Amino acid sequence: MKIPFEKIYELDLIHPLERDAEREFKENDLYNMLAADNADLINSWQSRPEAMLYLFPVTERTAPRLNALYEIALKRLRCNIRYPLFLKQEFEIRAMVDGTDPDYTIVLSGLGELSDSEILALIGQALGRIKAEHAQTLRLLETAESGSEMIPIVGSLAGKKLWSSFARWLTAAQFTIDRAALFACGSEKVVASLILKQNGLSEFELAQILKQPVCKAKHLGIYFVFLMQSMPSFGGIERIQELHRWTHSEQFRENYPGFYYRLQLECDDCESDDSALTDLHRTAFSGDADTMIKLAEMYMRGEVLPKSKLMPCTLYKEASFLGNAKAMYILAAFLIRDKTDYKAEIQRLYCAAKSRGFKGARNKLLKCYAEDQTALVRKVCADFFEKYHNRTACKVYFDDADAQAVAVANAFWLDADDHIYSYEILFDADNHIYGTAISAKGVFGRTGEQELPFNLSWSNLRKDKVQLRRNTGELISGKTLIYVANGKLNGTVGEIVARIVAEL
Amino acid sequence: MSLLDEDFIHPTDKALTEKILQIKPLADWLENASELDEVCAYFYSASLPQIVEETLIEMMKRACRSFEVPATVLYRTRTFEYDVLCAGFNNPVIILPAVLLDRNDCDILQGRLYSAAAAIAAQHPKFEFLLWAFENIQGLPVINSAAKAVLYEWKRAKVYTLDRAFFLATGDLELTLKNIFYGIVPFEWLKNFHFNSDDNTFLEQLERYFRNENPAQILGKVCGFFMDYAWLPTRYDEIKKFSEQRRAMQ
Repeated sequence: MKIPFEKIYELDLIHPLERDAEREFKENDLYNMLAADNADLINSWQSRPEAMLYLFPVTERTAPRLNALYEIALKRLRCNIRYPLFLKQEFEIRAMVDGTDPDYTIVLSGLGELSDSEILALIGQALGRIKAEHAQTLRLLETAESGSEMIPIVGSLAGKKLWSSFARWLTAAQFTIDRAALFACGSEKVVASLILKQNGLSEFELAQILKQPVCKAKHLGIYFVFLMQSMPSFGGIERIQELHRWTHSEQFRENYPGFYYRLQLECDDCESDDSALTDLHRTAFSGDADTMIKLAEMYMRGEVLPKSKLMPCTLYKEASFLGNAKAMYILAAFLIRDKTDYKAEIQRLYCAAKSRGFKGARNKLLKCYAEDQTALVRKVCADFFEKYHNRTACKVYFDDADAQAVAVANAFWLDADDHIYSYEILFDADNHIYGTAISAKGVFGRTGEQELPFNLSWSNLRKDKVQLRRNTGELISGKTLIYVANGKLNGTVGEIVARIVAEL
Repeated sequence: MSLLDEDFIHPTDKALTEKILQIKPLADWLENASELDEVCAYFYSASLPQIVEETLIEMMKRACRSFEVPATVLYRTRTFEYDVLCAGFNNPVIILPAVLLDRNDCDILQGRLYSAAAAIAAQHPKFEFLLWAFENIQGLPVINSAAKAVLYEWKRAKVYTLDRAFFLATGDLELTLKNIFYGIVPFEWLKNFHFNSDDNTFLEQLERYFRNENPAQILGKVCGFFMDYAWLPTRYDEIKKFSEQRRAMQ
C-alpha cells in the first residue's frame, strides 16, 4: 500500500561543491573548447561487455541474491532503467560505470569481503555516478590528462583555473556517490565500512577516523588531479567525515527526519544534541504504537520537530499495523485527504478501528458502506489469488502459542474475541510475508507486509449462511464443508481460501 | 646529539642533486612549486589514518631532532612493502607501512625513522616529487633523455644516504646491514645471515657479484642500471666502506 506523500521529497544526491565546480568549469573557455574538440569521442563511447570473456552477467537466473539487491538499490534510488550489471573477478572493491547515457553498464568487483548491505552501498555508488552524470566529465578528464599539452599550465590563468575546478569536482563527486550509497543501503555505518574496505583501512575505528584533522587546501590544481589518479584510494578519511557531517546537519534533519533519527540511533558513540527526541524515536522504532502516535503529532505540529507530511503518515501506518485503533482512524483521514483511490483501504481502516471500539469510526464506516462492495471484494480476492499462485513453500512458524495468537491477530487485525481456526503465513517471490487466516467471522488476508489486511466476512463469500458446528469443529456453509478443525480437509488454508474465492 | 653536520649525504647523492639543480626546467620547477605543500598536506590527511600512538610519535621526534628537522605528522598505509616513505615538498610527512608496524621490530623501525628524517634534511621528498611530476604529467616543460637519466640515477643513489643516516644514528653496523635486506629476504633466512661476523654467509655471494664470474652475475649488474633502487650488493658495499672510513678517522 503506498501512503500519501512518499514521492514528495527529491533525493538530495548531488553535493553542492560538485555543482559549484561543474558550473565553474563549464564557464571556462578552455573547457568548452576541449569538450567541443572531443565531443564525438565522448558521446559515442560504447561499452561492449559481451565482448569481454571475464565479465559475468548478473540476472535473476545467474545470481538471484545479487540481482535482488540490485533491484532494491534501483528502487531506492528511483532509477527507471535497469542497466546491465556484471561481476568481475578482481581483488579491488569497485563499482565501475561504462558507456554513455542511456546505455550504461555497471561492473562490480571485489565482492567477496562485503556483506549484503555493503554490496547495496557499492551498487548505490555506481547508480550515483549514473544519476549525477559523471561519465562524460570523467572521460573528458582522461582525455585531458593524456594530452594535457592542450591545457597549458605555466603562464595560463585559464588553464590553472580549469585544473583547479577539475580537482574540486573530483573530490566532490566522491561525496555525491557516497550520498547515493547511503540512500541505497540506509545506513551511515555501512557506507563508512565500505569506504574503509575500499581504501584498505578496515581495521581502523570509525571514531578515530571522524576525529582526524584534515588539512584543507585553498589551491588545488593539476598536481592534485594526477595525485588522485595515482592513488585511487584517495580521500577515504574525508569522505567518511563529510558523510557524517551531512547526516548530522539541520538540512538533512529537515528533509529526511525519520532517516535522520534512525541514523542517530545507529551512531552509538556519537553525542547528540537532541537526545530526548532521539530516545523518543528509539522507542517508536522499537514498536511502541503510542510513541509513534505521539511523534506523528509532533511532526504535524512542526514545533520541536520539522513539520512534515510524510513522517506522520508513515508513523500512523506503522502504528496501524501494530493494531492501534487511533492510528487506523487518523490514517484513514489522511488517505481521504489525499484524494487518490484508497477506498478499500479506508474501509478496512475504519472497520478495524470500529472493531476496537474507536469512537467515530462507526459513522465513517456507514458512509463507506454506501459504496459498492462487490467490486471491492472481487479486486481483493483477485489480488490474493494471483499472489497465492506465486507462493514459495516457506511457511512461518511460531514456537510459542501465545506469541502465535498475538502475531496472527495483529497481522490480520482480528478482533480480540475472534477465534482463529487456522492461518498460513507465506513468503512470496520477493521474499515478502503475506498470508491468510480463517476465523468464525470470515477470511482475513494480507497480500504483503506493507499492505493493509483485508477481511472478507462469510456473507461476502457465500450465499448460504456459514455456521460453526462446535461439537465437530466443522465450518460449513449450506452443504459445503469449508473447514474442519482436525485438518482432515485436503489442502492448505490458502488453498481453501483460493477454492472459496474461485467460486465468486 | 645532532647528526646534521655528519657526513650522512652520500657523495653521489650530493653530486647528482647539484646536477639536477643545474638543469634549468627542473630548477625553475623546484622554485615555483611551493603550493605543493598545501596539496600534499590535504592529500595525505584526507586519505591515510594518522598515527596517534605516543611511542611512535616519540620515536619520530627523536629522529627529527637528530637531523634538526621539524617534527612532522605520521601516517599509516596498507601496502605490502616495508619501506618508510617521506611524502610532500617543503614540509613532508612520514608514512609508515602497516606490515612494518605489525612486526614490532623497534630497532629497525627507529632506524628507518632516522633515515626518513635524514631524507627530509637532504630534501629528498622534493626531488622525488619532481621525478614523479616529470614522469606522469604531460605538459610540463620537456626535458631531454640526459636529464631524465640524471633523475633516475639520483633515485638509485639516494638510498646510500639513507643507509649512512641509519648507521650514524644507530651506531650499529650489523643492524644497518640487516636493514638493507629487511622485507626483501624472508625473515627466517635473515636471522641466519650474521653480517658483521666471521660467519657472514652473504660475503661469499657479494664477492661473486663483484667478480663477474658468470653470465647470471653480469646480467644482475646490468639489470641494476635499469632499476629504480640501488642493487643490494652495492648498498652493502657502500655502507661497509663508509663504516671503515669512520673507523679509520677515529
